[in-house]
Amino acid sequence: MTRLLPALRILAIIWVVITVVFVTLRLTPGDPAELLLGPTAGRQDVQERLADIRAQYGLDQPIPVQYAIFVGNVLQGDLGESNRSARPVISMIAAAAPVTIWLIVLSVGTAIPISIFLGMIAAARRGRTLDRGIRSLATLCMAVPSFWLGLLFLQWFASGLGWFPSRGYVAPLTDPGGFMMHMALPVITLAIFLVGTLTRFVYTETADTLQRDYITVSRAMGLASRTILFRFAAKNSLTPLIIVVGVEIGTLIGGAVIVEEVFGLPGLGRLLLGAVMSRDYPVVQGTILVITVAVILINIAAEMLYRYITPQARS
Amino acid sequence: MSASAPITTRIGRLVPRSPAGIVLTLLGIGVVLVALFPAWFTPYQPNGINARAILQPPSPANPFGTDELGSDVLARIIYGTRLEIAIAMGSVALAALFAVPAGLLAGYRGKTADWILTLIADSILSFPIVLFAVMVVASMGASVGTLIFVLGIVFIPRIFRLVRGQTQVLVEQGFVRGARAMGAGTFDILLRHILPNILGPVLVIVPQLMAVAILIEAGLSFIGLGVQPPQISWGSLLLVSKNYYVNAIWYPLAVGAVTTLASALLVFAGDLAANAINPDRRSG
Repeated sequence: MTRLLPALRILAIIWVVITVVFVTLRLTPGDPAELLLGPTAGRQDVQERLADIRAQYGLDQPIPVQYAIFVGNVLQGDLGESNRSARPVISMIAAAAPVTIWLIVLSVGTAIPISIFLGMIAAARRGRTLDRGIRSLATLCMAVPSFWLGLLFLQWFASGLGWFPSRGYVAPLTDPGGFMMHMALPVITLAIFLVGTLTRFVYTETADTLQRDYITVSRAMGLASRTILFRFAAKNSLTPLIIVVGVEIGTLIGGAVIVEEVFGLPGLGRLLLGAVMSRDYPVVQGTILVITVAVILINIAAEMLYRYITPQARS
Repeated sequence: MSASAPITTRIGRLVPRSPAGIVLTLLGIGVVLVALFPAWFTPYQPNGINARAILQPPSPANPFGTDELGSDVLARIIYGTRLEIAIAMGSVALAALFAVPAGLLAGYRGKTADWILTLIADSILSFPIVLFAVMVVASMGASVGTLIFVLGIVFIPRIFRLVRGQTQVLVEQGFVRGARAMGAGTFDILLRHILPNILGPVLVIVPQLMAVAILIEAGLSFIGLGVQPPQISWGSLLLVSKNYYVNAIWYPLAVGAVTTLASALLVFAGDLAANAINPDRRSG
C-alpha cells in the first residue's frame, strides 16, 4: 500500500488537472459549444455546426456525461480540433513542441555550468566581496523581467549591432548555423533567469557541505582547497541540482511562453497565446493540458533520478 | 510557560536590527507611502497630456523623460505603485485567508483531511503559474481582479505547505500536548497555541511571494493578459513602452529598472528575514 500511494497521488494530481481544465471552460460565460466553435459562429451553417459540436462533445447531455466524454477523449489523446484551422490540436502541439524543448534544453545547458561555477566560488569565498557580488548578481538575475531584458537585447544586439537576427526561427536540421543565431538571444534571456535561481541554490548547498566534518578532516589532512571544493563538496551539492531543475521546469515553461512571444519563436507559448487572442478554446485547453502533464512527469522523473543517485534519499 | 512567550521571541526576531534591514524597512514604508499618497512625490498628473513634450529625454524637470503623450514617466511609475502594491499584497492576503486555516487543519488532523488538502495543493503547484494564469484569463477576461484571484490561487499551496509543516512540528511539542491534556479544544489549541508560533515563518515568505506577484503582473500585462491600459501598473507601462525601445529607450529602461529593483529588494528582504528567524541555517 505504501509503495502504491505515490503512484496513486500522481494519477490523482493528473486527474485534478484534467478536471480543472474541464471546469474552467464550463465556468466561462457563454455557451460552451459557441466557445468551442469560436469566432466563426456567425456563419450561415452555424446552427448545423453548433449541433455537430454539441453531438461530438456530448454538450446536449448532462454535465457528468460531458465530463466522462471529455476525460475519455483526453485519455485517447484526442484533444479536439482547432476552431480556426480545423487541424487536430495534438498535431499542432507536436509541431510547436520542438521549438520550446530546444529553447529550454539549451537554456538549462547554458545555465547549469555557469551556476555551478558562480555558486561554488561564492561559497568558497563566503562573506567576502566576491561572494556578496555574485549573490547580488544572482538575485538581480531572478528579479529582472525576462521579456524586458529580451527586448533590450533585441534593441542592442540585433537592431543596434546587427550581431543576431531580430526575430523568427530556423529548424536545426535545415540550417544549423541559422538555428544557433536565432536561438542565441532567447536562450541567453531565459538562461539568465535560471542562473539566478540555480546559483543561489548551489551556493546554499555548497556552503552547507563545506561545514561538514569530512571537509574539515580533508582540510586537516592537507588536501588543496580546490580539490576539496571540486571533488568532495561538488559531489554532495550538485546532486540536488537535478531535482531543482526538475522542479523549476514549470517556471521555465512560463518564462519560455513570454520569451517566445518577444522573439517570435513559433513554439508552444506562441501557439497558446495566439489561441487565447483568437478565442481558439480547443487549442488553449489542449496546450495547457499537455504542458502541465509533461511538467508533472518531468518533476517526478527528476525526483526518481535523484533517489536513484543518492541511496540515502531512498527511505 | 505561558502561551505568549514563543510569539514574542519568534516575531520579535523580525524587527530589523542590521543596517541593511533598517534601510529596507524604511524603503518599504516609503513605497507604501508612495502608493497611498502619490501626489506628495510628484508635481505631475499621471495622465497629463502635453503635446509639446512628447517622448522627451530625461531632464532635470523629468528625470525619466516623458512618454508618448507627454506625461512624466516618473509620475506614471509613481502612480503605478498603487496598483502594484494592491496586486502584490491583495494576492498574498487572499492566499493566506485560505492557506492558513487549511494548513492548520491538515497539519493538526492528518489522515484523510491532510491527504485531500495536500493533494489539492500539489495539483495547484503542478500547474506552471503563467499557464494557469493564461487559462483563467482566457475564461474570465483580463482585469486587476482576475490577476489577484489567479495569484491568490497559485500562492495558496506555497503558504499551505509551510503552515502544514510547521503545525506538524508544533503538535508534538510539550506546550501543545500539555494544553491538550488540560482539555483545550482543537479550535483553542490551533488559535492560541499553534497560530501565534507559525506567524513568523509565514511572514518571512511574504516578501518573496510579493516579488513573484510583481514579476507575474509584469509578464502577464506585457502579453496583454494583465492590467489593461489606461490603468497604470508597472506591467501596463512596460506594455505601452514596448514601442519606444528605438526612439525613447529611457522610457522602457526606467520602468523595467524600477520593476527589477523592486522585486530584487523584496527577494533580498525575504533572505534577511529568513536569516533573522532561523539563524542556524544562513542561506543568504
